[in-house]
Amino acid sequence: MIPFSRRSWLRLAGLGTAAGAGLLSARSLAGQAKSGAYDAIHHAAHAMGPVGRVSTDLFDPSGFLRAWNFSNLAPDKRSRFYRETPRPDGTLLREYEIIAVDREIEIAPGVFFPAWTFNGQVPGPTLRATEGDRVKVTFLNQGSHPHTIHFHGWHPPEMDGSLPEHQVMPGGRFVYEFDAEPFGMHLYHCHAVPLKRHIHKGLYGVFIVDPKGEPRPAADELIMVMNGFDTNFDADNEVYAVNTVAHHFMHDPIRVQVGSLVRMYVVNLTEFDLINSLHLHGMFFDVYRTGTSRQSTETTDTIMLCQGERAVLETRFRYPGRFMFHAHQSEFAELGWMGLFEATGARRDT
Amino acid sequence: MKGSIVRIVLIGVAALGAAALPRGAVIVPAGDPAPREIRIVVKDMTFYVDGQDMPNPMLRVKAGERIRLVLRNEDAGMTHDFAVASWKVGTRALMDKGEEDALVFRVPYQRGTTPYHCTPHSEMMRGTIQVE
Amino acid sequence: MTPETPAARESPARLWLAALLPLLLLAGLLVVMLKTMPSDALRSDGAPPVERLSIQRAVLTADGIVLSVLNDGPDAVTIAQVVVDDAYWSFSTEGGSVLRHLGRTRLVIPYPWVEGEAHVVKILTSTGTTFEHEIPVALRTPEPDARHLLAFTLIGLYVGVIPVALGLLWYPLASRLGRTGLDVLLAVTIGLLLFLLIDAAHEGIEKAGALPGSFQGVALFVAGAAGAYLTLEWVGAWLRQRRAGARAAGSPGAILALLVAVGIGLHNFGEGLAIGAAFALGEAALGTLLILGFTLHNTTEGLAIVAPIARERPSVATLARLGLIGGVPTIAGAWLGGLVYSPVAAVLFLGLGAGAIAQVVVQISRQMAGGRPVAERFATAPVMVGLFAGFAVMYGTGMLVG
Repeated sequence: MIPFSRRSWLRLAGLGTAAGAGLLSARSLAGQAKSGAYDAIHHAAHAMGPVGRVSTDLFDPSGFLRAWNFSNLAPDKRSRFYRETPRPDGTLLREYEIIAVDREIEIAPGVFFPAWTFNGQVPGPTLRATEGDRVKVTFLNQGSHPHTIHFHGWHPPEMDGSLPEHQVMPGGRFVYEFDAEPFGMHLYHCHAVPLKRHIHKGLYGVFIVDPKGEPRPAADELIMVMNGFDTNFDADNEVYAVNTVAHHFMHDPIRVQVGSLVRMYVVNLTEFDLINSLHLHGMFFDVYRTGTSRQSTETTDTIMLCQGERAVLETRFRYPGRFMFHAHQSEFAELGWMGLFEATGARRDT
Repeated sequence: MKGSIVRIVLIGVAALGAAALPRGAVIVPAGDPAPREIRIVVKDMTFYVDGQDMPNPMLRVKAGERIRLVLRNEDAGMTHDFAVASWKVGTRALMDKGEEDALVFRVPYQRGTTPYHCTPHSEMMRGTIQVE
Repeated sequence: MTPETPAARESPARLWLAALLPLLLLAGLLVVMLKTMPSDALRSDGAPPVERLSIQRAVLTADGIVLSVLNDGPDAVTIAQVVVDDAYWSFSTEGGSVLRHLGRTRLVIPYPWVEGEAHVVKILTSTGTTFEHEIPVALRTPEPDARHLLAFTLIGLYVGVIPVALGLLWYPLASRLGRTGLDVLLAVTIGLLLFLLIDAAHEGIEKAGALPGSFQGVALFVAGAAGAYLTLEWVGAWLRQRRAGARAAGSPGAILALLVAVGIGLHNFGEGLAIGAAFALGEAALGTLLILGFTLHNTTEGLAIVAPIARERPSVATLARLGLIGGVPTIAGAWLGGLVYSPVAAVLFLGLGAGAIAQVVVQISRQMAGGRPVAERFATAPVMVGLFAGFAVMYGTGMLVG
């Protein structure tokens, strides 16, 4: 803006008014400005949202919803990153290869973020095991800074990836090995310092442990990571999203079946903002906080999650059509954390 | 006066000539036959010979042979190069998808194997060159 | 040693060669630098570009907000998204979204702005860098037309012509003053002008600081001031010389009055620019009482013009002419500022005004001193009181407007 001193524009204002007292009315100018000023733009509500689309060649937030243990890769490529071997007790040894690499990712149309990633994607690949399985993660740091993987879950201290001696230097390797427990919806992230930067640059992912014995009821399962990006490094996020790309699910709604059980694994990995939330339009869902119990603790349509907090949400769509979901912090919603479900099938009244 | 002008011209031309030398060029004597071209593509943090499926393949070359190695980066948002540390040759770092750089060099006469790698991702993007 | 200079012995062709050779080599060097980009050697691979966007103007229309954007940085900038009040908003460009050095574009944003409220528009570039522009009070921006020409003319009359003319009416009083009274009056004038000088310098430097770096605002301001100062110095000398040739006894007072009028005219032109621009940019809020403050404030400018000629007998026409020279540029400034506002021109004209006023202050001081050291002449109670009074009047009336 051109900074007129307060004096010069007040000065002008006075003059404009005075001029109005004479031959022409400055007020009439203002009045004219007022009338009809908003006719056009009041109908422009659809103009909200970014311009253009993000290429999904590199990372598809929709594909991320339903992929775990590298199930999005062809078998020959998948074996490079994930192998499972049965063990005598009936559990599995699950071996993963996780690589930290620097990569520039597109987080809103035309906006590129110099991310630190696990396996070239943000969020990192989703790891999923059954309670009691042995998890063995070979971590290779090919990034430009020291990194670690810190898993949430039971594990011995040397597998914690948090203390200075746990840092894996660039070019270095470390094998994390532990039993998957307890069952629930967990996460993993880099715990190198400065912690805030290592997390907000993109080093995080989802770690799901399914209950052993009787599994959860079959459902359409969706991984939803609430995240944000501070593109100008002012400790405030410019972009918010579910699964990284701002407003992605506005253009590519999450397709679900009316009447089928839908299970959402939701985690808040937003930095800088204390809390984030998920609000689903037109329905309610059952909440299993941290997913560690088979008993739902509440039924609501809006759930608030602190940084690192997560929950499993279950619902069934009653009506076909589009349902919006977004953070109930309106600011986050309008900065990208907003999307749509699209339910198909015959309407089911319960 | 005349002498000084001549001197200035000479100094100027020499300075321009020095500045105009392309960076990192390998000067190859004229008259050699055209070098053999090897096209390498980087995709999903892996080297491939263009059109082949073998990840980080072994490259076979002949001692004393002149090679023109063309590297193409197909990984958007990631920086890759191709370097042979023992021969002190390497492409420049390619930052954009579809970007290419060519490296012309003469294979040393010593037979055997030597490793090649991508400088930022040397632990996962590396392979062997066999000199026959 | 030969008396001939070396150049005299050389042929013209050789001289030309000597003159052009460095330039030719320089051209060659530039070509080489453009080809090899030696600065790339200093930048590591992947270093982010230096991005600097300057948002020059926000126009609020019935269809939304139109931003004029200039790339003030050395590298190309790609505008990726626009955020208005913390929400991504669609936009279209007139001039593309990739801006080279000093490239311009306009962003048309269909945002339903709210009259009287503040809005913040943020541009996100492809690297995620942000550039913000605040609209402190949203009002529909008037579009220049004949009606506005008339409005700007009226504004100019009110701020420039009428107050100066009112000040000129003090002539009969000034002409009856004795030697001391006249000194006091001139001292008051100097006080008034010093205030204007400080005011112009402050506004000019402030605006210069807000200009995109490529325009080097402070240098522009100083060059304008120095240019105006030296030009007026030269014009004054020329006028005195001409009069000395025409008549035995010159009229230093008339020349001085003319110079004061020109100086004030330049200053008022700068003021008019700022006023017209503020109006055009829609930064005007309404306040009816302020006009009184302005009339008071600028009336004193007329006094400054009549003081040097208090001892002479100027015709009414002369007085009117001086008044017009001092006042009318405000109208021209308001037109220019309102119709084709350029912050660069504003800085330049504020510089011209500051230089002109400085020259006038020096000129009046010289006349008052009459050959004696200025400090000695000024160190008398009446003159000091006059100086202070002039400054105080400007300061006091200035408070009414700001």
